[in-house]
Amino acid sequence: MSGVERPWTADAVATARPRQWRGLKTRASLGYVLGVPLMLVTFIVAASLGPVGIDPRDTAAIVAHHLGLMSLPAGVSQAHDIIIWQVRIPRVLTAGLVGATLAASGASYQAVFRNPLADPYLIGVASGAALGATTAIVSPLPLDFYSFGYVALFAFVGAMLAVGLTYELARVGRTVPPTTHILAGVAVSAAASAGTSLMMMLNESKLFVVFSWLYGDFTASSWTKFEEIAPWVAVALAILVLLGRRMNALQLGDDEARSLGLRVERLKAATIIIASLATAVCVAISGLIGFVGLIVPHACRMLFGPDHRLLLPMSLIFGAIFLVLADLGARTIIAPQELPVGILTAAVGAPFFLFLLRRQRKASGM
Amino acid sequence: MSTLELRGVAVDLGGRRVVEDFDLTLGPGDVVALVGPNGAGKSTALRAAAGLVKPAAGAVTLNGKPLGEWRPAELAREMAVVAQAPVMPPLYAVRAMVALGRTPYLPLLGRESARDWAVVDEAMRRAGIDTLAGRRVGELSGGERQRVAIARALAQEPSILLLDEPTASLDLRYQDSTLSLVREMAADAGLACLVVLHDLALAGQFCDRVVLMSEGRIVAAGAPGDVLDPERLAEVYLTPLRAMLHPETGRPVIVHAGPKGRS
Repeated sequence: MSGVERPWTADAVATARPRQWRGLKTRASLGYVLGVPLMLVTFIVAASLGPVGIDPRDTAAIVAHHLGLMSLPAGVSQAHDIIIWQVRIPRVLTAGLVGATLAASGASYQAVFRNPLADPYLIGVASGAALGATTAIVSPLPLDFYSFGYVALFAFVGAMLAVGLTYELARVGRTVPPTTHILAGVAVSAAASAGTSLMMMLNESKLFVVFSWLYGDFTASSWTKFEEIAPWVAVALAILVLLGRRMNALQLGDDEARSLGLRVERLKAATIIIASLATAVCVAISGLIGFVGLIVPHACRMLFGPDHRLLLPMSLIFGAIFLVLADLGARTIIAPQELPVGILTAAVGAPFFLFLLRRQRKASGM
Repeated sequence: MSTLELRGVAVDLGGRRVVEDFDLTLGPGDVVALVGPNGAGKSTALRAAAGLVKPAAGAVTLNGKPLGEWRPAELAREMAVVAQAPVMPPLYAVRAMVALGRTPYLPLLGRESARDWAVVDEAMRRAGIDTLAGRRVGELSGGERQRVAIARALAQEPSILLLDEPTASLDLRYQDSTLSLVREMAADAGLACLVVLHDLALAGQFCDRVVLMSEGRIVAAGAPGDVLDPERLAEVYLTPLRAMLHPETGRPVIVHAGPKGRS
């Protein structure tokens, strides 16, 4: 892209050698070269483990067969084919997609609010979505629980209301201090959770449906459900990744971002709506899984630096890996019973959150 | 080369009029200081000039076209702003931070071209931070960060540069080099600069014109020798002041009257 020719840059431009920003390029290559194969291996290995142990090579062959890459090897049984392709792969893919979404949404919220502690679960998005979804489930309206669309729609509306309310409550003049934002998020989350509990109490007949949904897991995953959410979420994630460069400029503050030519309000609104939409869709299918959006972007920032053009795709990849591994733990640690996956992510996430909070407090000299 | 004009600009903040009837023309090569006591409305006037606050009355135009009619990215190629306390995420490398100045030139999917990097490197060289390129912003001193912000503004290749107290956190050497850089860019590249300054000595030495504000209004505007009159300044700043002439430039240097001047 050529710019206006200014006299003072003319010489420098004339003698410019094609040169890249090596730091970002190296880190990016490293991230993709390690991350993508690692993700695929994690998926295959996770799909191979379970009550019926299957050789990961067979799993890979079954997947390759269904993708039309090869015919099914003679030694692979029909039963294994069904277990892998009909049961475990949809579950792994769903967990991967949800993990990618929560991590990328977390990174986007952190960018927009310029708050390293912003996470879909800490700024009220998830509990708002849960309240919305519960409303849809217990509603006397003839809404079929399995008609996924309504639950997702209500979850989205709940998420947007919660994120808006949290932001307004936390706003001090033209700024939103990170700590106030988290406090407001906690308050809104508590209110939303109370509402959810109340609705559950009043609708005992649907208690089990709501419960199994709230402490969500991936047991009910299927190709149908995956195919219902995948296109929406994929579009949302693609847009978030494309906004990466603008999110970088947003880190300089609203005035500076504006003087760099960004339509700041529009960019923020678009990012929040898209991230909340994607989160709400995921909450609607997987229930509440906390801390992924906090841990993964932070780990990626430490590994790959703060540039959102790399941070967002890396959060996607490592968010998928993280949640697939957490789900693997959830279904194997106390097998044959399953742990809610949210318990595992919280067990890792809560100490990590405290660590970040402590570090932030040190940085601000409190 | 561009001309920025403010005509009869008034700005309200929180229901209170902060700037009233502000006129200014900033043309190629101009270096204009905006001075006045705390709360005089200098920074707000600068924000109005940058299009960051909407005037309640009056008009701000760039090359005759109201700021509101400019596409944001096009405006950002013409005009850059350096905030008083620039926000800088600590993990960014200096060169990456300066490269954000190329934002208005890059399409949604674009990466910086060789030309963009050449401009970024030249901006860093001009601002005297080329040796810091690989350092993280969080490791820099206040003065170094200020110069990173200036380099980022220069990387926008603006024809108009607005600086809000760029020397506030700088020691004497960097105050001098920062304002010398501004002068040099004005002379070499025809950059038009509006600088909010607290230090009247700096305003007198480095600027062609001085605009003195008090309580939201322009009290005086013109050549430093005319505006920086100790009696007028004493009234505006409510403190006794003395003027001397610089031994080499002959420009006015404003100093405190000292303990004796109060008696």
